[in-house]
Amino acid sequence: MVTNVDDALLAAYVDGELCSEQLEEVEQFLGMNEEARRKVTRFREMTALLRTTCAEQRFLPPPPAFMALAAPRKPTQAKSQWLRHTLAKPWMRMALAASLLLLAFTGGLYMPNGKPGQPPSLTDARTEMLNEIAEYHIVYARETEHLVEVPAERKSHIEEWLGARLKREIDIPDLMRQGLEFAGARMLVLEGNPVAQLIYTRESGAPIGLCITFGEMDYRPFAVEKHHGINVGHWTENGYTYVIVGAMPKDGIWHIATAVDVQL
Amino acid sequence: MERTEEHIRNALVPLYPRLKRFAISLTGSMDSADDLVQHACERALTRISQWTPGTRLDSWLYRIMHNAWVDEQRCAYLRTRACLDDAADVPSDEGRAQAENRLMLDAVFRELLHLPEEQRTVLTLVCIDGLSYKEAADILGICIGTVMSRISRSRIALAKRIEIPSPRPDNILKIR
Repeated sequence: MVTNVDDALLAAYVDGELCSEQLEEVEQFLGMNEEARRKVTRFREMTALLRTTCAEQRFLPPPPAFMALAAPRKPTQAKSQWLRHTLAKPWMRMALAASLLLLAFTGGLYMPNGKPGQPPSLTDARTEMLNEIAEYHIVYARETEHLVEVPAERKSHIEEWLGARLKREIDIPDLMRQGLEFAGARMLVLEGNPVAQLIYTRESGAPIGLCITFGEMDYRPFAVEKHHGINVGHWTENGYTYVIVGAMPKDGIWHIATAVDVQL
Repeated sequence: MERTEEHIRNALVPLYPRLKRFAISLTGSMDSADDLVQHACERALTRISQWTPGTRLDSWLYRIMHNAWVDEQRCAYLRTRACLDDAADVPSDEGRAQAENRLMLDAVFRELLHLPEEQRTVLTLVCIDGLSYKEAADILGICIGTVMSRISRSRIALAKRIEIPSPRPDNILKIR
């Protein structure tokens, strides 16, 4: 019997905080009450909007005093000339240096084709976006405990949350046949646009990222570029751009892209 | 102990955006938040033995930060909020849709900061960080029932200040 379902209970329903008995009661109530359904939708939209608004990179970079506090006590090895030229921001240089070390140890590091000391050319917005996605991927891929913002256990929440921001249905692609296990997701905001970043881990090698964001309506075929030393595969279809990023050979990126294209 | 300290130091940079986000929800100010993050992390590094490896480092740091904020009676951190207004500045060479989208996000951020502290903090921990009500209650030192009532009040309060737009870049948020 449905009795007293108030706003607090509806919010708890949206946040996944109800026990099975309460869940059943609220769902029964929602089935009969259009106003409550509207409220639940609004609560969900609010959560999605807040997550986009407060995406992590809004709060970067850390100030020098914080970087000094976080620095390891032992002196670190000097960073290469290439790294110093590739990234202009000091905090990002430090984070990237550590990330590349980790990637090298996990067997997935690919050095850029260009000459050392040459920064990547940023010719257009697309190149810049791919460049930033690669940058963020390298920083986040070094993480173990905090690899993702929302873990894979909350898959349905991730699909709902990211789907709301990208105004489309998102079914997390199953890439187990490609040796990738879904670890979770986070939201990036690049040039003011939401970018859904799905992270997959593998038995050996650094994690792989699948990013989805708004793109042009015109179809753009699959292509692979190298940014910050890692391969970035991308294509655009039906108003969305898909990006596969990770320290793996072009063939591997292409196989993943094929599997994603079939499922999304 | 040394290994634990190294682990914590290594985790600080990746955790920084979330620490700052929570600090802003406490202080309501971008500048003051940096001071609070710094103070809380310095305090954490002097209390390494109190953290149990294998437990959530972010929650532990959040708790330290919240306690630091309460200890300092808040007023020590209240400085200028000018940078919040700066957040709305958009470079003129950006595309119109991008600029509008950025303005929308900045506007939502400002409206979030206009909420009372108790509402900002629960929204940040539960809606943005995705923590459970229990985890949020532990960090803030309140009971789960209080988190539950605050979270719905906060959502409604924020919803009253903004109209939820479609996330496409060509939409503009309406601030009431």
